[in-house]
Amino acid sequence: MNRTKKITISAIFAALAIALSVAESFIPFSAIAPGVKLGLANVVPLTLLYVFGPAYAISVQAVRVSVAGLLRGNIVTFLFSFFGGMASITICSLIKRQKRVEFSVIGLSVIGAVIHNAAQFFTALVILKNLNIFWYIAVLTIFAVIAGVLTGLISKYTIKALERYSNRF
Amino acid sequence: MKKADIILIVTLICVFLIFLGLHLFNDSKKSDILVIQHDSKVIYRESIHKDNEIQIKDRYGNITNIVTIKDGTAYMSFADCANKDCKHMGKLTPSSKKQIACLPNKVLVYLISTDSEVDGVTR
Repeated sequence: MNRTKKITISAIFAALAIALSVAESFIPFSAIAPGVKLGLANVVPLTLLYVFGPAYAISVQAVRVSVAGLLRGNIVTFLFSFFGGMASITICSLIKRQKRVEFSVIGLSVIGAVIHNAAQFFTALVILKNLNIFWYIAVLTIFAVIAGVLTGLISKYTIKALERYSNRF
Repeated sequence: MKKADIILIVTLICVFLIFLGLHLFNDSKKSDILVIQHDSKVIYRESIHKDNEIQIKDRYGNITNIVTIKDGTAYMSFADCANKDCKHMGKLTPSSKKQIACLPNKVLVYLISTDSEVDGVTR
């Protein structure tokens, strides 16, 4: 596949990720525990990481967090999305690159979800400047692992389908 | 799924369940001083048994949150943010071990115990 095609498909994926972010904000996951989310939009960069490589995945994530972050919420919530999203995809790319411990898509998705949450949580700690809430990271991480497994499964099948598709070019 | 995946998932769940368990089952003294923090400054500090309604305003004077203190419980009765997470966080009572946070407006409501003279946790 040539570069133009890759960039075009990445743009479509960026749009899809933004749409998923916005769509997900209508599902009241916060009723389970505040801050809990499925993170459907993270399927997109994770899939791209496997199909096109880290440069495309990180760029699409940057577009996604910037646009989706500005569409809903204020500057504080934008910072959460930004640090969470960028930390998550960068660390996933690095872990995928090393060959000592090999994770499957699901493992990488769990790592991504946990890092996403942790980065957002530390942003919250910095903004609130209060350590009373530190215990809450346990709740967030447990739900992040569950969400990571689910989005990892979705990514796994998306990657399979896309690899079949890209062979036709 | 690979072996590394399973080890990772099991370790994460176990470690954080233990951490959560330690927090929830740790005996602590009753805390009945309600503290409201806005933009990292403490704006209210009174007994939770004193009924009150605290309005939190942004720098333009618009009300962003209202904390209602009634019959020894405290809860967020109004928030102007989009997701309303803080309203879902329920009520604080002297024995609860949680806090109410409204991140978009940088508001945090929590309890401290009567005998701690200095608020050692807020920095």
